[in-house]
Amino acid sequence: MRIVTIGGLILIIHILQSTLFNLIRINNIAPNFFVMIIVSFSLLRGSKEGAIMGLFAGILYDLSFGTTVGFAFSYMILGFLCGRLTPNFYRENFILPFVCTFLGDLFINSFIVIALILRGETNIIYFFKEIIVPEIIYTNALTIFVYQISYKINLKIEQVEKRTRNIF
Amino acid sequence: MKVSRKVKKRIFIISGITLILLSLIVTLGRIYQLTLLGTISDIIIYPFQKIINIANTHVGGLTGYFKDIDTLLNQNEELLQENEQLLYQNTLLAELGQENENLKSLLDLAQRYEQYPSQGANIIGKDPGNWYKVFTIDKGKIAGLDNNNIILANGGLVGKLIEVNPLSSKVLTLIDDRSYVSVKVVRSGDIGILMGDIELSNKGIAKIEIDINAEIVKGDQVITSHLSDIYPPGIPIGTVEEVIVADNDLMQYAYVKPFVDFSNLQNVLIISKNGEKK
Repeated sequence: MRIVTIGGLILIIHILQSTLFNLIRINNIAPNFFVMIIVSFSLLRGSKEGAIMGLFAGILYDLSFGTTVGFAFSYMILGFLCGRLTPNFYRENFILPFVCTFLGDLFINSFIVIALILRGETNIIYFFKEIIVPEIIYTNALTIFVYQISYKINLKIEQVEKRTRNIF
Repeated sequence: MKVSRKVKKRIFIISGITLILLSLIVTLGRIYQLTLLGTISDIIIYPFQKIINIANTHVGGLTGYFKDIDTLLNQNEELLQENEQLLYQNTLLAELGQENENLKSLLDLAQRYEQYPSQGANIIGKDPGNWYKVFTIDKGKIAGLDNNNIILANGGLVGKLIEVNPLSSKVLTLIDDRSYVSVKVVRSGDIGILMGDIELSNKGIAKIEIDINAEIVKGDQVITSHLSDIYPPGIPIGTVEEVIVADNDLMQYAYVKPFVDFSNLQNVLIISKNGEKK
């Protein structure tokens, strides 16, 4: 149940991101939905599920648009690190996903920037000013809705799981 | 769940090994063109992307039908005028073509401008990130495509295929940071390297790195050069917008606006260079 729902969710987000969400680009900057969904679910469910989700999402992205396997690992680390915070916070705390998305998006983008620096593109100020900061702002603005939605989805899944456990 | 330290260590080792193996499979698959995981994800994702693409174009067509009538009328008038001009030019060109053919047969150059087999395709997915400009098209190995096939649109160069799955394939556009194309300035014949740049790619512009002594000014036309292994010579790319001298006074950079509008691209033409050689 959980695997099917979350796997389907990642698949749907990936497909929408590559097709319809190109229409909601502001000034050619698109938000990063994978960061939002991975941060939300790993904060709700813990580091193990966060890491698996991140790996799956990253591999999907790499297979569709990457030339090397890179995002798989960075998303996995992101899910793992965010999941480490789970035991220490309430789920109803809606500020933490905000902070985590901010740092998470920075984390994912810093990997790309490092890769670019290794290739000899060293205009870091431009990268931050024109791409990373707008993306973080856009992603953070949408996190409010995404976290609420994933909170409700998670609640529903947990209810269903509880019911099935009572039967057996 | 409590796990002893030994088991934990083992889990870490196992997951590490699986990760390394996974990346090995993927990279080896890329090298030998046996994309195993790519095929699986291809089969899952392709139908959805295709459906959304079809729905998207049809809905856009419906709303556009009412919106664009005014512009279409104006455009029609302009196009009629242009058509007359073009007809005139066409007759001229036909003459020139005849002449060219005669001369070519004299020079035995026919082989260089051979006609390559081509086919059309739709774009079904674009890179959701903000860094790179890669997209997927809805034809793959089954349709007879191969790595390094050339992609054209609107009479200009778009890029090349970098990975071919059974149903879909990946296109690296020439404004992407990782793309390099050897180009020639039509007027002077100077040869440079066209490369994508992250700072320019969001505006749909690429830049040429060319020797300081090369003759290049604003408005020059740029085509692919005869030096490239992948790109056939003489494919139009774009016009020069601006020329600047690099800081070290050894190179100059020319910003090129391609003929292709990368943000609104929908249909492309694929040219298989390998098909002809068999």
